[in-house]
Amino acid sequence: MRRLEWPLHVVRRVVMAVAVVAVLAVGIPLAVDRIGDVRARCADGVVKRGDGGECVGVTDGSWVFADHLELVEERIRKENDQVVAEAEKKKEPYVSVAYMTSFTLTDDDSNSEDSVRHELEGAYLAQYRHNRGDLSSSPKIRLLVANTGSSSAEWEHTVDELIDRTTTDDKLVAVTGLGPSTDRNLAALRKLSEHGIATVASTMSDTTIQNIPGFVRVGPDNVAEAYAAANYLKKAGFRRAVVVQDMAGRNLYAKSLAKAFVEAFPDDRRELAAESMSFDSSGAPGVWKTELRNIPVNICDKKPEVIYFAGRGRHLTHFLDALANRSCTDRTFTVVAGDDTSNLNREQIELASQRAVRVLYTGLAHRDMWSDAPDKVSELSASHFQKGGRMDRWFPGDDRYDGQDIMAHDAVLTAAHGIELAAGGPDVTGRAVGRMFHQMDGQPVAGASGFLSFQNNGNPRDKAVPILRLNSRGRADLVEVVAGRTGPTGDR
Amino acid sequence: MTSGTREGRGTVAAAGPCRSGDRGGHLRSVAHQPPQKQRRLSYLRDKLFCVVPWKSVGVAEATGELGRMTESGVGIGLRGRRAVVSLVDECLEQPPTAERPVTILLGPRGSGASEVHSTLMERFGPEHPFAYVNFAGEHALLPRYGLALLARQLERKLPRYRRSHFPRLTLGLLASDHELRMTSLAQGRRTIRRELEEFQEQAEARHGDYLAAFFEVAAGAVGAPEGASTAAVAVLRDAVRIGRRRMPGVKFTAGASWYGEHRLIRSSDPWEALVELNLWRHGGDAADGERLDRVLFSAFLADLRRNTARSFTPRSYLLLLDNCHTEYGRRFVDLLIRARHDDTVVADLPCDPLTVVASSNRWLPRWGTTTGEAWPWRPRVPDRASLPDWSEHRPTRDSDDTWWYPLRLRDLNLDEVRVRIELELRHHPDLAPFTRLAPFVHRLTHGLPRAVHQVLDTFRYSGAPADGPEQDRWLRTLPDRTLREGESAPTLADAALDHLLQGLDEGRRRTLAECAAARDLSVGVRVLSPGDTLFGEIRARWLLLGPETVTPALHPWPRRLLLWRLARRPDDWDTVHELLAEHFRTEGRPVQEMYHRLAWGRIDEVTGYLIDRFPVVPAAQWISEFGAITAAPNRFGSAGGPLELLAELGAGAGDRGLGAESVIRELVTARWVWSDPLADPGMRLTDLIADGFNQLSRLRRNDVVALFNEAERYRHWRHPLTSTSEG
Repeated sequence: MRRLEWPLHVVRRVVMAVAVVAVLAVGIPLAVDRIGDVRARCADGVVKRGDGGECVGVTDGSWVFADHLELVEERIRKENDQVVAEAEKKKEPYVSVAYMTSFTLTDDDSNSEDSVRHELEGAYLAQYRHNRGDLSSSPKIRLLVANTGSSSAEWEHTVDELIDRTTTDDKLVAVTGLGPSTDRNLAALRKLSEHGIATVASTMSDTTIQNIPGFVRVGPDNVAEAYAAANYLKKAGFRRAVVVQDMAGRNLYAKSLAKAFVEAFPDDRRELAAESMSFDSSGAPGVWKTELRNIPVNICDKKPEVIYFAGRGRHLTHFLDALANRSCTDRTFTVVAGDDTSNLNREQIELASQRAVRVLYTGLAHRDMWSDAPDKVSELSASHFQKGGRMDRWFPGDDRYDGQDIMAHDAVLTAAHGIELAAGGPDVTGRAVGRMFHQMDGQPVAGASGFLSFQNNGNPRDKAVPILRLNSRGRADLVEVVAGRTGPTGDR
Repeated sequence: MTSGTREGRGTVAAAGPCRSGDRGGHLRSVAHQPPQKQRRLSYLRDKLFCVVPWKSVGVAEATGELGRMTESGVGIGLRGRRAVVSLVDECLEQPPTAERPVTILLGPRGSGASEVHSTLMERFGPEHPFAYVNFAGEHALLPRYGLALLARQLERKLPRYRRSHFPRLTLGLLASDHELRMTSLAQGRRTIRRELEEFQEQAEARHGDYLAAFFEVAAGAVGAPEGASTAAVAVLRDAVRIGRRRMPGVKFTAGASWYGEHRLIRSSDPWEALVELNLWRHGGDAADGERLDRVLFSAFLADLRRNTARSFTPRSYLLLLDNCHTEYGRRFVDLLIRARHDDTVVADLPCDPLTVVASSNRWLPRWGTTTGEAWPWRPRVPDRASLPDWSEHRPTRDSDDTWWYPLRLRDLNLDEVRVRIELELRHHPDLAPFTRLAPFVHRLTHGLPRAVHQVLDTFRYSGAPADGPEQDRWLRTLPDRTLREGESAPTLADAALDHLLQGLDEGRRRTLAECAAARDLSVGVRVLSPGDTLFGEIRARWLLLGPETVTPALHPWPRRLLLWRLARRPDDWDTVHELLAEHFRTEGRPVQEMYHRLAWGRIDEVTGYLIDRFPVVPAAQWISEFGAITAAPNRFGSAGGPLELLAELGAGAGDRGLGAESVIRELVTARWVWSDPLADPGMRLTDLIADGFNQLSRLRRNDVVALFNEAERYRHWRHPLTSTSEG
């Protein structure tokens, strides 16, 4: 081997210098990252992300994602603290259930601040009822609030944070809520499922989202909604309809809704007046608004009685604007939409109701369902949502017109019920809770939107669908409660 | 325990004649040194370096030169030896396996070899691993101790190299150090490993590392060389620093297999081989002892080769071996040369990476007769020393003489003496008035480096007048001046002769002084002390003038001093010169006869001879004969300057007018006084001699150019650089 004759002290210095440079090369970025992490930290488990610096992640209520959530998050935090305190003092066991959706909203989101706040309020009610209310059971539940950011852009961070919490003192076993039916939320759902966490969707209605281990939804899927809408329209005597569909690739909701309606509506006496009329909300806003403005020309030409709008609520308002400026003002139309309409805020609903068209939609829940179809929902649960009920007392002045509180309540209550059932086994884990979702035929969840048990694919069994109508006061009136794809309520 | 079978069988502490306290034969090993000796180690070290440049303590005290230490050896000690530094530089830069000479610096005592060692140490020590061992120590140094001292110094950590290790040598030393407790070879084989490891641990617990223990028993051999500069001393102090501990768990016994494979050891089993080493030392005869030494040298060279085979190690190691003419020095160098020859030529291994510079004040017996006839080498002059010069002149590789590179250190020339004095001025400004005396010093000492120093020291310590006739009168008795202050201080002549003739008893010195009366020492010995080996002894001491001179003359410096002493014995002086004159008369060599008659004080006879020769021989020949005769030694009175001496010699001559007799007699006396530097230190009679030749030219009708030229030569006298045949 060749002798090296470089001066050893020089070699040592060079090696030392290289080592120092290497350490610095590794250490400085780590330090910068660390400093960045510290600077990006909002609270434990909550960090700043994205261009807008929104705080995303998971909190036990001690971090408030948005000002309008302060009251409900404060209640959640206190309840969580009490659960921990009882665990320390009385050895009362607990697990955690997260409520996950986009809590920091922008114009790009289909949900409104009202709707997500209502969801969280309903989730809190379920937690309270399970821990110390009328359904008091064990183990107790800590409710974690998980924000995936606007358009769920930061879902991966939040999901990773949730996964971490399965092995910490949080003992997370289930994630509820899960946001609207978007591909990002679906990816988040799949990842949670892969890590053995039970999942319960409150408003996610896309039909294709099913057969995921440990996953159930408490609302009807789009097919059920579309069938319910078709059944209602048939029953109401409508014969000629057109479908307006959002063709955006990520909008699974619109796609499945349109597909199911096209299957359900036409028959011997009813027809679709034309091929589906489409717009693409994934394009530039100017483009899809232009597309929506052009659709009424075709509609006037085809002369339908009903327009089935398969798209998000926020696009619906633009469509209704365009429809108000139609050329065939002599004709009146009934517009029927899906449950996303419930995400419109009060002003948007008021605006839509003033367009000289009748707007119906298949909602997920409505508090009047109990009075309209008392046998379909749990009286005890529904009573909390009535005027003067517990929700009004806890959150006075917040008009929960959209039923989102009920859906979130039912989702968390489903998780709690699964936990209660799993507690009979050796260990309460996410997978055990997920398995329990399919053991509820005999003892369904007493949901405020209906009694809940689940098919193997995760969809609710025989879930009632309310037909709602937007009124000029910015609220939704219950028109009728319809059974899912099996036909109108009265047919069963 | 100075010789015989006991020698070499003791353990480190009781090594031969190293310590007077050990002569009772208390055999103890390094590991069993009492703890207080550790403290003594540092004491010894401090003592070694605090004052004394290494030399024979007796001589140092006698000459009053204890404590000479220069600021830097590079400028002063190196006049005429710069090529040696270049040679060493060249050797150190060669690849590790390249063949390098064992350079040996030859010359009489005081010829500056130690200064060369000091210079090499100062020049290369800070950057290269080096080791210095002086074999002329107070006590003799066994080869095994020499090796240990060298290895310990070579282990020194240098910034640009990794540390060198000597595991094989150390194991060999360990295995042969203390007598193993065993009743049979088999038992010894079983127990030796454990015993050696215990022994190593004990030694390391006491001394930091095993080799450091050798400093205690052989400390005298690692002192700084004579005349070493403070820089060189600092470098050497660093090289012998002790206290380093080996990495825990590292045992020397790991190198045992090398011994099992060695050609000189019968047993092929590693542990039996080590037992064999032990038996050789503690139960063997002289041949076994020598075989053990050969194995240890072989281990030393093997360690060196292994060290340099690795990266970040030096290409070569510098060994400085001072005074190798001593018994143990000769033995060490013999073993080193033999080990290198055996490994390189016989075993066909790569050459070891040693750059060796040895020095010797004697002709070494292994080279044959002191005439040099049996040795293929003729010592080279150091000014032209180089590796190509060595390669060109080295004998074939079959002979181990091939490794020698003998360099005969020459005396300083006039310019070098002048520069040396000026360099000394930096440290001794009180020498300033004597800078003009450089020609005097050179004439007096012939440029022998140590003699130059001694004369300068005498100037400083004896309060020489700065200038003028007083200075001449003072210098007249310079050999009797003391070399340093104090009542017991030796005279310059005593100190110088004691140093140069160390080992010759007073009787021999008296004989030598008589024989030195002859210009040709061989004639002096033949005539005055027939059958004496004195001539060979002086030749072996390199005290004859170099081979370039035809006449085997004693070096002018000791000759002058010996004759100075002989002059105190007037009868002997006269007898000696009478005998020599008679010898040359019978030999038919009138010039030599007249030389001694003049020395005898027969000025008239000499004048008569030269007057007779003046008209019959060519002027040039007459001048030559005149010069040879008037270079005769003298026993002038000790008082007075040159003119007073001249006046004394002229007394009784009568008024002879301005004829040839008068002129020639005046020339004879003037030049006789002039040619002795002690009689005419300032060469004040030069003009007188020039006038004499002028006058002589007027007394001759033809062939006068040579006389004119001679007159002119003296008038514009320029002292020759090297030859001192005149004056």
